[in-house]
Amino acid sequence: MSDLDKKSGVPGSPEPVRPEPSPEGDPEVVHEEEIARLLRLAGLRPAAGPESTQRVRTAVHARWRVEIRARRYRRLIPWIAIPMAAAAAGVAMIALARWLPRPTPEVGPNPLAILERAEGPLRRSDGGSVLAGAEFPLGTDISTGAGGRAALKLSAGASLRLDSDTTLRLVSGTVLDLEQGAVYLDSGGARGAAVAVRTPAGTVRDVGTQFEVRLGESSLRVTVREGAAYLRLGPDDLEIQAGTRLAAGPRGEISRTKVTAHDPDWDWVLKIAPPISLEDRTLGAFLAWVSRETGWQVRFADTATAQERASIVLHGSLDGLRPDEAPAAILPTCGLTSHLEGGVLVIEPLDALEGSP
Amino acid sequence: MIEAEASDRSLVERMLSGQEEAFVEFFDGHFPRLYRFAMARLNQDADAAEEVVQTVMCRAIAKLRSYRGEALLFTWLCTFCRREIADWHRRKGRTQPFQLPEDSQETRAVLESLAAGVGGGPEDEFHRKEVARMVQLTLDSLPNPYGDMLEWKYLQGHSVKEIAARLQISPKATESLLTRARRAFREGFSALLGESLSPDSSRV
Repeated sequence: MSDLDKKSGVPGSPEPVRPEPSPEGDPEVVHEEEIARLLRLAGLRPAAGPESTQRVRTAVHARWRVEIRARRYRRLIPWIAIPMAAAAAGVAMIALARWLPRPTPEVGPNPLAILERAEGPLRRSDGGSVLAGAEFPLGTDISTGAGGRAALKLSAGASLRLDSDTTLRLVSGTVLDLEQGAVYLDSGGARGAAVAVRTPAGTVRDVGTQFEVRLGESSLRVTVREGAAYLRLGPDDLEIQAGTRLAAGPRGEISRTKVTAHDPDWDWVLKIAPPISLEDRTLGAFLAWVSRETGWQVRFADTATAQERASIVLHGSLDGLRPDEAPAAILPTCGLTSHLEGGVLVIEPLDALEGSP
Repeated sequence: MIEAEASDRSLVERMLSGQEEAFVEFFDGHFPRLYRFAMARLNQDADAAEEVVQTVMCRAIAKLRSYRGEALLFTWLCTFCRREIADWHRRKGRTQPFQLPEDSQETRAVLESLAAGVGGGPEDEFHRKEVARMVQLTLDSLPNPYGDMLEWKYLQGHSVKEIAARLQISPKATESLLTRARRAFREGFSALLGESLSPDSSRV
């Protein structure tokens, strides 16, 4: 019996997995046999179950993605800020040399819109800032380039999002002129501050709703996700109900198709969803936000869980996390998990899943 | 060990640059070990271990930029894990049920009892379990993928060729890694027991 066996003192160990053959008496072989015996004594190390591993992997992966995006954003700021600062300094020096007054900023005390988030190329006609928090005055043209997107908060309270290759003018707090591309409006369910999107083909009016207006070369497409909207085409007012896409062709031909609230066509809207703070937000409020952004219905597996968990107060930030990714990161911290059944996000306790076969 | 730390530092750099395969390597290489680390300190409560390890890995990811490679990544994660486990016990209004030998200064004393000879009684079963735990602890402490390789070879009976295929390296490189894995295991286990594993050792 080797020294190791004496220490471990385990008689009757199972038949060993034989190490590779080597010369008799070789210390390396003796060591190898001892290690093999010790490992057999210990057996395989315990491991987390596949469901448990998957849950943690999903949550940690989501957190990692948030960090990576935040890191890229932090690294981008100096590249934007330094040239802007240099340009600003240059303008000031020229102005001083010529004894010219510096131009006053056009932003009034009540901007029409505030930039909440931008990704990719974004331009504004007044040359102002395109960083989050920038204010947009009356008459500003906003353009996104290829791959660019932007989310703004209108003074009327609605959330406005611009898809790639879009040009829009802020005519007033409630009137937007869409010249090309696509916009998404979410009034947040509020009434009384209806927004009109004017296009060369017709005008779309919001009735407390979520909808997209997409202007093509020779067509106009309006898709309503929630509530209803009206499209004024010449003398006609066409009502468009939730779940419907209306397309108007160049000769006035109209077609309607069905589009669910969670259709993949809404994906670009999720990609540019404005960030929210989780701090002091309840789980119920968080899920309401997820539902509004994703178009999913949210359902707790049982009433008791809903009553017990919906009032949990959350902390932290979701910065960089898409609304459809957020539940996987947040729910496990509340002892919950979720899965999608069609367009329904079903939420259940983690321990219920553990108990399932 | 310095080589392992450099490899961990490189892994962290790749993670910070957003490489998906680096995340997979990080998660697969550390989650199982951290999970066992937490289980042993949470009375084998699987739910608690999952909760704690998820929190630890998320927190560590948020602080990944501060990892300087001065210790192994697993050691660094264990520091977070110890703190989180203490918080977990505090939140649950429990005192930490026991301190593991490897967490205390009394490692040698505890382990020396293992060498006191074993018969067939319940105490011997306890000793057997302790040795088993120490073996698993040593495997978990080895740089990746040493622990897995040793298990594949000596517990699951995989050939060098099979292990090479699994790791996508040559059989020769696998042999070399196995030799280093055995050496690392021997040194790690010896350090835990406080004495050499040499077959010539007369101490029991």
